[in-house]
Amino acid sequence: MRRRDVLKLAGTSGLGLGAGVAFAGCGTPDREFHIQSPVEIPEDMVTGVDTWYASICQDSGDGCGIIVRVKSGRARKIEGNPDYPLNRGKSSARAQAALQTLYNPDRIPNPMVPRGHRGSGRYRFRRWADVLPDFQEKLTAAADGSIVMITEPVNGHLAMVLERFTQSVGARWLTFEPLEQAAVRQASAKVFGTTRVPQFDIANTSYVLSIGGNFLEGGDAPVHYGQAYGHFRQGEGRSRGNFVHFDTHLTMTAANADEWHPVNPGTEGILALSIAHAALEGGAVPAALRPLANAEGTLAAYAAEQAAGVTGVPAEIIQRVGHEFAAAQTAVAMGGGSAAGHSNGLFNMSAIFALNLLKDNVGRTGGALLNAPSPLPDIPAESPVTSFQEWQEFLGEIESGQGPEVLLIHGANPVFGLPGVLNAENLLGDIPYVVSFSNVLDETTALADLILPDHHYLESWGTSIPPVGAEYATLGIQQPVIRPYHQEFDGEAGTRAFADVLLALADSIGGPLAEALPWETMRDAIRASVDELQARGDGSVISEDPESFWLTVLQRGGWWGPAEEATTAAPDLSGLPGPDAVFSSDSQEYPYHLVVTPSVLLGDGSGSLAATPWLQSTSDPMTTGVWTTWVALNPHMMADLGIQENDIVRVTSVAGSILGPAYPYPGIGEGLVSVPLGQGHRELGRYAQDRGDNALGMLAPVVQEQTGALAWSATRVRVSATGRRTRLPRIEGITAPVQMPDQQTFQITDES
Amino acid sequence: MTSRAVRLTIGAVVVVAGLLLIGGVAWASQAGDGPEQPIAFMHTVHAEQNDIDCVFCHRTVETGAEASVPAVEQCMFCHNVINDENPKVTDPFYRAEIAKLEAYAENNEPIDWVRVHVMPDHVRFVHAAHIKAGFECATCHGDVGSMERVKQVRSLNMGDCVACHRENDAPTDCTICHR
Repeated sequence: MRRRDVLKLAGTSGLGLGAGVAFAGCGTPDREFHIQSPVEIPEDMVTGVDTWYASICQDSGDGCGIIVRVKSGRARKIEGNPDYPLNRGKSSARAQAALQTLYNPDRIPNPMVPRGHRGSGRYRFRRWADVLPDFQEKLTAAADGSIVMITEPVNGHLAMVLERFTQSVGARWLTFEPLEQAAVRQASAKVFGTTRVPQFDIANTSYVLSIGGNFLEGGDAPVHYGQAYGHFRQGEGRSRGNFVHFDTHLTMTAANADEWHPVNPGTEGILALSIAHAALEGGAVPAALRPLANAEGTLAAYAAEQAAGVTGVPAEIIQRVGHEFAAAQTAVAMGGGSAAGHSNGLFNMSAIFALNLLKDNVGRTGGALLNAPSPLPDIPAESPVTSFQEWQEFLGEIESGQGPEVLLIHGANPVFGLPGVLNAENLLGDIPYVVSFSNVLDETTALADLILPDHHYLESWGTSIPPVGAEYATLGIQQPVIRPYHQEFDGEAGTRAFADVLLALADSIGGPLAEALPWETMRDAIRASVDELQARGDGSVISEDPESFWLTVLQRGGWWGPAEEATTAAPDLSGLPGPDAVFSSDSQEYPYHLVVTPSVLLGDGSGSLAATPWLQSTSDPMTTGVWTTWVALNPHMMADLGIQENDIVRVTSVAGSILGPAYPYPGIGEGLVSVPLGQGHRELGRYAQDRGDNALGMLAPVVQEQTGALAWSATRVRVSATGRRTRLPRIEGITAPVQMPDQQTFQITDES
Repeated sequence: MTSRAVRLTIGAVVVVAGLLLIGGVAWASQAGDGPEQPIAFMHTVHAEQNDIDCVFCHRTVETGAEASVPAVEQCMFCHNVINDENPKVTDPFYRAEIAKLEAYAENNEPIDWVRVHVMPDHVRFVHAAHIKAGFECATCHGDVGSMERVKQVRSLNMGDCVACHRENDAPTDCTICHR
């Protein structure tokens, strides 16, 4: 033990608790400013040379393969892994910014307990050895079924460990997805026979029809689709593809399309069927679409003339797009975004996906390719997702005094992400014992009685099965690229990997739990799976020797091999909800539709990305806004309401309100209000705290009946000026435009 | 003066005062000696009085990105002889410091020196390229032979690097240092 460690320990013991460790825990640890004389001369070691390690990005949501440049023990740069099938060398701003979640000064460096009462906001550090026995006792003493585990949606080995852990201790496992995609998954099940949304092969298709599908900035795999889009437009040996996009407002994906047409919120499914009707020239639909058709087997009810009035899309455009879609050699129909967040989201998404059946493109090049299954049968490719309705029931149980005794939280932030009217903060706060494994103090972790901080993903083991990928069955491996930044000294403080804590707990509790989780660490569990892959003798790495197979798999960032043909059920479009969307309140008092848009950079804000200055200060691609929340309004609507740019406006729904500067945005209809998500944190450290407002909190609790999901596009709002003004920080408009010599200037005009 | 203007003025005064304070502290930390080290290693004795070449200890400076600090084993090449019982070492202070080194060697323990020159993570500085271009160590590090405790003598910030690159016709592309 070193002198400094002794000092740190002295700080944690006795009455001097907190001060010593608190100081050591603030800012950059001492050792980062050290340079070491090794004991012996390292003959073959040249210091200062870059080493690149392959791993998986867990911040960006899609599990991109990454390579990380490490020099002198510090992770310094992140790039896409050129080998990894999902993203083939490309990466996203979110992946690049992971260095700032890793070295974030507001990470929780040691186990903590609240000082005084829970939620006091003051904490004291604890040793692992002091808190774990008590934690284990609480867990074993809890009655069967009275433990609840809440996590983010996960796949791969962590999902396997969580599944076995929760089953063996008799716990309920809830996952939290703020902008629930249940409608997308279930529509995929209805149309493609699998809840895993297919890989739309846009790289090889000639026509992309997207209704709300913002695949370039959101959805399942923006990096993958960004790359495929490049090929779609400019790929060698192919002609440039055509891209038509319909959405309620002009998003980044819409801005990249050849044509963008606004569509009235909640009518996306009607539009899709109207396009289908046009594509079929009014004829009978194929058998699979029969449940959507009338007695004659046609979609006459959705004829362009009728649909135009409902959807707001001119009949001639519907007709033309329908004909183009039908005539295209290959075409895909993609959907998502706010179309999936209406009360009729399942209808919308099923109707959109069903367009693919007209082209009979499932499993064909340039069509909808079914994803390869997990290469290992016991490692799930998908996460179970708890629906909003189940969340409501769970919170209802707590309210009626039947809540769990123990709550475990990892990676999810329901206090921030659930609509405010559900009162999740107070209800979760009523649970007698709350343990969080978060390594940043988010809104939900602030309720905890005990915080056992997880390693960052660049410091720990894990796996990922890509959300899309038809070509290869893939297991991406996340390996530690540096030693933990908040390293343990003699097992006393520092962070520990979440999965390793669960595995150690299983070993210590013993019995069926230990049998279900026989591995000492996550690394051992992954190693066992990799040995199984080695036995297959095919794929990206082949070796007779298990050790060299393991090392090569780590070096390449995972293993991928030939995919077994995916087997799926036949399309079944029966039992869909009606085509009409229901909204939260009447149009008299709340005249506008609220469109919540996940930020390209910060996502929906429930993760820790808002705690990174790089992402905070990267411009939103459409508005160039940074560091805050704004309210995008149509300039004509602003003029009618007497609102000027930068006036602080209040957006009010039946369930709450937010404040933000008005931003005039011509790319949004007059009846809509668009608010980006990601900000409005009360916690989450110095870079995220008290910036902007959180529109998730003001969503009305409208439920999609068929899926039980939250209809997050169904909230109506009113807008009022507050009389105050501010200045939205943004790049656009701060310098006068300059005419470059010899450059052609494009002017965008309003045709109407 | 409106209340907004008053607030702005007060804010500006506070910011300027704060900057002066921070600047003062930063300047003060540069003045005087560098940080205290686990062993009071003296460049004055080694580099100046005994005229040991920099590269003798900082072995990889001509071949690698980092200059590297010597291993304990290498210190002991000489200090096996120049040990704390050597009659020629008369100063009790030096005897005590050499004894510390011997303790590290006996316990097989590495020495954690406090870094004096720290580059941010997004900068890639390659010592070898600069040495090969003919620069003296002292150009950046100053006359360490006169320093009992090594300290940073140049700002080594981006302006400093770019200015020197310009003076010497070295490339100033962003990716030369940031990649």
